[in-house]
Amino acid sequence: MHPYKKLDTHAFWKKVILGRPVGLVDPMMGMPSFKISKNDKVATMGSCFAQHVSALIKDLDLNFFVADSKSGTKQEGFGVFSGRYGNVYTVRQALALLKFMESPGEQHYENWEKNGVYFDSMRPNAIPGGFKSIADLEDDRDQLTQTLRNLLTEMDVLVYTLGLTEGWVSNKTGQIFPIAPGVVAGEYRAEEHIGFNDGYQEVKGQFIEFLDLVREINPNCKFIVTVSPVPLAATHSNQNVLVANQYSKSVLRVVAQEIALEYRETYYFPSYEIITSLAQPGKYFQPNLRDIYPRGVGHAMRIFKKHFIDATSSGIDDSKQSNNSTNRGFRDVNGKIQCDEEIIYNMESD
Amino acid sequence: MKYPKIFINASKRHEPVFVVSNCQTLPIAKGMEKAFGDIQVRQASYLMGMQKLETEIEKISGDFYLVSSMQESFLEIFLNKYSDRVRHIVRIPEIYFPAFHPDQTYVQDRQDLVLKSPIGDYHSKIILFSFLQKLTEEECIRLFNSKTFENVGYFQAWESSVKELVRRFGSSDLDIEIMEKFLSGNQVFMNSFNHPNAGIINALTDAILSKLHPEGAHDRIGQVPRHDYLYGPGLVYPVFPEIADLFGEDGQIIFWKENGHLLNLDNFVLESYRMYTNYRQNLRDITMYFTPEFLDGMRKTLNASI
Repeated sequence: MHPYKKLDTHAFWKKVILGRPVGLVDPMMGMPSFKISKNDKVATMGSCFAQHVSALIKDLDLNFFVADSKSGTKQEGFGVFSGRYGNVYTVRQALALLKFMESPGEQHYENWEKNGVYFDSMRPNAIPGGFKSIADLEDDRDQLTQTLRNLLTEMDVLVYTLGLTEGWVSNKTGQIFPIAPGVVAGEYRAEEHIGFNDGYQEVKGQFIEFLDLVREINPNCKFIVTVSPVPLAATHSNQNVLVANQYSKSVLRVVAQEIALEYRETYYFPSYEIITSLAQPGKYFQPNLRDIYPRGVGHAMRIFKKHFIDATSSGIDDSKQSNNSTNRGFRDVNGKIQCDEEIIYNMESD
Repeated sequence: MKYPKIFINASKRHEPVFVVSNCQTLPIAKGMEKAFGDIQVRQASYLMGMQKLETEIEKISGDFYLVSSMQESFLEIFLNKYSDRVRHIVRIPEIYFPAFHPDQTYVQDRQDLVLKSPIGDYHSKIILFSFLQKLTEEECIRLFNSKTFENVGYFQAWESSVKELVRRFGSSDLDIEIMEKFLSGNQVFMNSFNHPNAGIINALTDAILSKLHPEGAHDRIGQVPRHDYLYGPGLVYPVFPEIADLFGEDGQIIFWKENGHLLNLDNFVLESYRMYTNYRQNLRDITMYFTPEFLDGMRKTLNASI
């Protein structure tokens, strides 16, 4: 007799990883989960990988919660996430969003201009076409506070995708940027715009603060935490990008695990493992080793659906998803997700 | 049945090898020919009948080594006639692995004759079912989606395929271990459900060489040139994209006709329907072609789409 004798199948590499199709590997086996019902308002936030979850929720005719008080097209930034806050790469940025919601007047925000078009430095790619005037921009930014308030008050489930530990901050105003000034628009000032790279303790502390703020407003909200498998496009840390990427993902992965273990009604979804682990050796990354093939996204979404979607009791008609040939649906989605980081990836350094 | 283990020794005079199998015979024999060089390798498919085998054996003078995937009953008949000439026998498995091509099927008529499809011998289960159920061509085309595949068990064919493979190796003289690297689940290694690709054929050939020629066999193992004999018009069935996804590969839904032309799904359905219309009187009842599980899955799919 030894302690491994009584363990379930999912505890053994040979039984759940080896000798099975990569697309059937299910790292959620043995992990805690809950079922999202048709009536649950599901919100998404985080890095661009989170947009796949948005697409799945919509595709399954579940209640993808859009908290914006006005509506518009995807080109105008509506429906990509649950509000027009754009990609939220760092937890610092997420926390800053909530603080903006609580006291919007306290923080100074830069307004970026490029070729006569104005961009909100809080979310430069959330509204891809930008604004015609600063007045329009600031008016729209004001509306974001209501969006965030609606979101926090009404959502039942938040799927949060941790993306990066690196980001940019203004040492004059304290503003957190999702992308370095000058990349999309605006002006980079080396003496003011400082790169940060948060460590484990900082990220965990920020995330707990973020979750506590949400729960203060919405005590019953459930969280599903994931880590984006998409590697860093570039690092400002002076390290090799491969090393920096490993560090960043390691920090986020540990934080996700610990938060899920320690925080009530908080669940870890292993999209990071599904895409990057040895169980599918490189099969899910496109030749640039960053972009993920739709089949990889499809795998992650199948597992999400299997463990988190209550298809039977809620009367969800999942044939809708398959009528556009399921994974072919994800093929389409993959080409359309909006990532600020793509801009950095496609840039040449001087 | 027990046979003396007399191995081919390259340094001495040696008898020919006679390979008797199904469609996998040719590539195995070709591989062995290349590996042995100066040893005569003859081959025949038992599907051609005993007469064809006898014709081939007549071309061999004296004793021979037999590499065979013949079923025990057929092998017994064969050995009753030739056991005095068979110096050693290596029983090999026929590779049948439908996990990548679960939609593929053969279709026989009421007289057990194999009917042709637009691409040769391989038919689509979904198309045949649709025709027999009197669905329109358009309705049939719409059934090619992952919900249907899920309902009829196309995504669940891996475990049963592995189980069958293990069984077949178990009743052969080769060890299933040679399949280990292929069974990792991250590659498609079949061109159709009964046409293994060059990698598998080479692994089989290497294993047979080890059995026949253990002394110095390692010099040859792994050096057999890889040629995909079982890849070409009429020999392959597509791995549908939704199924290929499971193995981390790209799939396609293009059908390769024997004349080399390609058909997309729409045209494959249309041409299949035309041919089935001609066969109509000779086609069997629907329950003769499909398992109850497949029929249940298709009914579930049809009910959901109504």
